[in-house]
Amino acid sequence: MQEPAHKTHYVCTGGCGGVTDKPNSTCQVEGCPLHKHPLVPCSCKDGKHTAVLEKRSEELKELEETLSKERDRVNLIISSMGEGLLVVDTDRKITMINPAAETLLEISHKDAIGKDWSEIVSTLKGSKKTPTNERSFARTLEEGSTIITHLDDDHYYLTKSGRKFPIVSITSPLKGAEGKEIFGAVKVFRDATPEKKSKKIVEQRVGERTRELGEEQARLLASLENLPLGFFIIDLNHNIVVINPAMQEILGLPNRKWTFETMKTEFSKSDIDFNQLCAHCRGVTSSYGIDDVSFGNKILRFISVPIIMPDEQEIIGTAVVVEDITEAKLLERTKDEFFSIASHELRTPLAAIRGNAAMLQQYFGDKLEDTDMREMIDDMRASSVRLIKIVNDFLDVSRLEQKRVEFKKESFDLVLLIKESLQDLEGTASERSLYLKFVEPKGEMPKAMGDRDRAREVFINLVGNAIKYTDKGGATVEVKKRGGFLKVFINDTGIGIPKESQKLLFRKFQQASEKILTRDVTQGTGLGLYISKLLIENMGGEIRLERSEKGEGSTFSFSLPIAKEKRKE
Amino acid sequence: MQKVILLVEDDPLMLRMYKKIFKFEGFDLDTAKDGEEGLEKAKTNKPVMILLDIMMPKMNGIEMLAKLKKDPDIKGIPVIVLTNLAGTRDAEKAMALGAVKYIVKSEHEPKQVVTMVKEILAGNTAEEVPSSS
Repeated sequence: MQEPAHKTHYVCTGGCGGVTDKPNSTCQVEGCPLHKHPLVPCSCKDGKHTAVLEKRSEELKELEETLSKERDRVNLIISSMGEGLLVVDTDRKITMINPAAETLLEISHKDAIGKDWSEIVSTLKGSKKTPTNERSFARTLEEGSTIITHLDDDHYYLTKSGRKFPIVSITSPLKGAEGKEIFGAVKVFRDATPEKKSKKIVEQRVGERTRELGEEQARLLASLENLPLGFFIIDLNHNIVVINPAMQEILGLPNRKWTFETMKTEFSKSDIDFNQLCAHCRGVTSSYGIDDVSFGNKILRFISVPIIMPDEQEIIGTAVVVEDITEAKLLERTKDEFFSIASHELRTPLAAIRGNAAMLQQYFGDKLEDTDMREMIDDMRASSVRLIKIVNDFLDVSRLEQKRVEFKKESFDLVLLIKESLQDLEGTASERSLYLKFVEPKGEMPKAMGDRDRAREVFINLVGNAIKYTDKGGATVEVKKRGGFLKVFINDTGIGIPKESQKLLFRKFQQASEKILTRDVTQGTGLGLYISKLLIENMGGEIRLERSEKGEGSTFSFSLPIAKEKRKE
Repeated sequence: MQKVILLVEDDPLMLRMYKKIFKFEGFDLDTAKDGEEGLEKAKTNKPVMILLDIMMPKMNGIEMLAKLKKDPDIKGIPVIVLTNLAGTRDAEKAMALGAVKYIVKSEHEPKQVVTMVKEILAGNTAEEVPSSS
């Protein structure tokens, strides 16, 4: 169509050459990039449509600038990346390589571009070289899929210079707009050396810790295996999680695999309440013990404790320790029987000697005119009395030291006890022409707490000593309240005790070792004060020498706790 | 007057000793060597008192005492337990079963024992009898 000169006309700047003089027209040329776009006024003079050209060159310039900016930006990103980036074409020739990749692969940009990827670097799996067709680029290009290499895949790159380093990478195909055509591949990779190192350290530590735990577990198991006590653990679900050989033996069936139910059945044969033992599983937090339970032909002792997690204070099960005390109990019983029988066997013949000698003196006095005869019989009687005392003392000491003596705990009238005992000893005192005085306490005295018979024993011992060691005068007894105790004082006008001997008074035999031969054996075993001390201390009191001077007599004292009276309603 | 006292004791030394003292003091003493014989003789002869040893074969003193107190015929006879055993456990058991007194043989000479027997026969209760066992 011929346009008139200088007439305003409109052109399409898409390059199709479309022209019209109709304003507000759109391009009608199919295939034109600006198809259907509005036409712009053309300011040409010579028919060459310079507006179009200008517009086009402007647009081109803009495009170029934009492209250039984009390219720069992309380049900046690619250059700044810490990871290496490579792009290859379908022949695996390198078309792009960023600085990071250059550094890692020890190759410069100009040497890399255009080269086959396999020439630059070899891939190793562990120490084995990966053949070309199995490498990521080859596979990506072939299959069109993304391939990711992890740390665990144990891939390495080996550069031309011989540097080997572990890598992790992602290789992706570059596809066309439709997503069908592959025209290359891009790989992003990095040097995984630090990661691999950390991983190794962690693995090492885990290995060490596992070994430590293994050793700990082995130690614990060894201890449990060798424990002479029976041991088992029950968890909250009533599973028996641990049971040691000693426990198996106590149960008597060493090869049985025990469960909660079977153990319960076994224990129900005796008096053991199995549910009580495992109460911890139900939240009870205190430990539970049973002493002296018969189980078959054994006697057992049980202790069960809850297993509590230290931080959360949560109970996770019960641990039970079982002790076979059959032997110990039998031994105890044997010892008790020994004491019983021993005392009986010794005392019987002694009673016979004493009794018969006494009867000779009492009923055959007229036939014993001869003084020597009388003396001999008297000596026999006296000896038997002394022997009886010695046997009593020895038995007392053994039993007291072994804690085989039962002490009654009762409240009793100490004043009355004193009066009665002094009455009993009156005869012995008057034989030696000595007096026994009791200074009655002013006001009422509370009752004492202890074993009355044993207290009597102690009192008799002390007064007896007073009489024994006094030649002239006698003994005086007083009772006083002292704090929560009743204190009894026994004072004599006897020979007194020298300072050196005072330290040894309450000891066994009251004797220092060097002087063992120079003892005064006529005055008894020397166990009396020792026994008295054991007795009084067992009752919670104290016994001591208050004062003594050679030639001036002695004062002994013992105290007993005051009985706590219940208020009478 | 014939007052029969029954002594149940297995040891010949003790038997001979007590036989003498009761003879000297004018008592009629019957003896048995174990708890079984003791029960028989108690039933047959009805003694006024029984002196009972604890440690004996066949049936010991505690067992005999228990049986005695269950028999209406003989449970009223006062019993003194004589023994040489250590410890107070047996004494307490005997007293709990109804014995009136507990005496340790080696602690008392025969004459003292007879005095105690006389006092109990004279009607004193166990508490009023002075002196220890």
